[in-house]
Amino acid sequence: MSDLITLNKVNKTYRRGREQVHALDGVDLTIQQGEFVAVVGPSGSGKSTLLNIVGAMDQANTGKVTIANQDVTALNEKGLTHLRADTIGFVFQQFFLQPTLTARENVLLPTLFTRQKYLESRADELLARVGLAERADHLPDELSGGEMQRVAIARALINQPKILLADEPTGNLDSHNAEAIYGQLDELHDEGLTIIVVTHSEELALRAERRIHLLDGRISDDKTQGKTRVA
Amino acid sequence: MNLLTLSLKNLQRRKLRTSLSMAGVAIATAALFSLLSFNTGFDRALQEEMANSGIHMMASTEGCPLEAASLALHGGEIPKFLDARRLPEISDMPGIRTAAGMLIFSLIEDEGKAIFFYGVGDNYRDLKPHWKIRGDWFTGPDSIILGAEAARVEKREVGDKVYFPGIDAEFTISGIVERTGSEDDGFFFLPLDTAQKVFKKQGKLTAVGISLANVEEFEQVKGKIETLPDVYVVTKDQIMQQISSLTGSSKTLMAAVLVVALVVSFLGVINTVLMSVFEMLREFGYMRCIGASPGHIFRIVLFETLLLCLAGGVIGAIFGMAFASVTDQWLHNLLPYAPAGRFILFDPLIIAASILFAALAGVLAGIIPGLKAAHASPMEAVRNV
Repeated sequence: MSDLITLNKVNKTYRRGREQVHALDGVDLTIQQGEFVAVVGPSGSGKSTLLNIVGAMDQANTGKVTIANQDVTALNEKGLTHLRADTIGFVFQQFFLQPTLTARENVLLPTLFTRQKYLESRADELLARVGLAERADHLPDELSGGEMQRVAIARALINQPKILLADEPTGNLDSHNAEAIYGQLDELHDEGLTIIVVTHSEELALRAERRIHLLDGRISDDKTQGKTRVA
Repeated sequence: MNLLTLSLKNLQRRKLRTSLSMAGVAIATAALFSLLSFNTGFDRALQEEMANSGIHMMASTEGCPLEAASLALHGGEIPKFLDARRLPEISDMPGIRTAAGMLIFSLIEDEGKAIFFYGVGDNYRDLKPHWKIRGDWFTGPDSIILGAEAARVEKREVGDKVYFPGIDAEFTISGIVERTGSEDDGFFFLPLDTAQKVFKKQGKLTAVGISLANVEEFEQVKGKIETLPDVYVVTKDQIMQQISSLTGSSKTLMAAVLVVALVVSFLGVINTVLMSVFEMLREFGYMRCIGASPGHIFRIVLFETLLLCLAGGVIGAIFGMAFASVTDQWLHNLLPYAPAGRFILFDPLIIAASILFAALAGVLAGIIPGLKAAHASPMEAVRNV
């Protein structure tokens, strides 16, 4: 497996009022292609900041970040936009589905902004894959929370990303729907997709093969674990 | 699906707010359409009326002949009079087809409303070929002809008697002029001799309306008439200019109201779209995550305002046309002089200009919200609410 993401001595600080907050403090991290990584830790430990930097949504103050062989710290706004569009798929706790677009149209939304072709057949394949083939023409308010998150996963995959970033993907779901999402993530990992999830859910963290624990902006623990699967 | 359809669907998310903003743009566009139509329609109607009247020039006395001539058309009392002996002298001149004398007087009723009397000779009918009279022309010295609006206000019909306490005179209505849409509708027409007697102006005229047998002889005839003592000639074009200047203040007022309507609607659109941008900042942040550039986001918002204003513009132009007759009637009542005929007619150029203006306003209104949205960072998507 090759290195897909590397962080070298990454620092990130920001101001909260008069206070200087060290969100990330000299973080070194390497994630290899095809890994399923769970980032855990208490609130304020720097999990979301790490996700923002790995997702090229935010820049480190110091240190070097490389994603898919691209030095992120050297990229301008246009380069960052292309990197996000072509390399990374995002899934958030809030589904960010456009309420006036059907499930299929929501899945196809990223293709409006990239050089990808607007292929309805590809969207239908992805919806079928997440078990929503029959719901392609439904609007988000006609879908359950779990279904909406599955549409969001299909949308994250439309541009065939190398990395799937998920920020609390089951935070708004009940256990039944959360289990369906875990299953989707497992399948994607089995197919070789690199997955990084930030979560408070121990159940989801147990599904990952690697667990990174953050505390006060530093990696306090980084271990490989056996994946838990539900039969 | 493309960015335009995405913008269209965004508009559908806030139906009430979008509808209200669209209504504001529609009202402003309808007002713009009406004003543009009025500006061209008024001049056209005035030219048509002058052409229909057959009046090529008017003769009046010294003082302010231009004002006298225009007042003779739209009603008003002039303190200076032309010697009535000039009328046959003008009539007998070669090249004159009709020379109709007029004596105009006003009477203030108890309610403070002015009644305009027109003393006219029989040949006045030659200057009003489009008149349709219900009943008869003057049947005797005590007969009177009423304009359609005057008859309606006085609740009188042909054959009724009408008494004016201010001059202590009673007349029998011989005819009522069917509605012309012009100032004539509100006038009371008396035989010229009767008017001169009742208003104690024997041998006096306010003006003489003149039509020529051959328009090419215009300058020669005008020169000859002006050789008569105390006679000044005002041409049709000069009268039209004077009437246009009389309506100038009304046009300015309407333009001012229109500017206010346009500004209010413009600000309303900016406010609507800006509110929606603030509400959607996190969604725009998410779009930035999935590959949207600031330019994409700017275009989504710009298309939204453009579509909103374009739809409002089209609706406004349709409403402007649909209510053209109501607006026409209102303008006829509002203006100090309104020629007969429609002001607001179907003109594709004016419709296109009104809609184009609305679209342009949409583009301008979209700039501030568009820039605000374009600055949304991908971090907005993960910001804690």
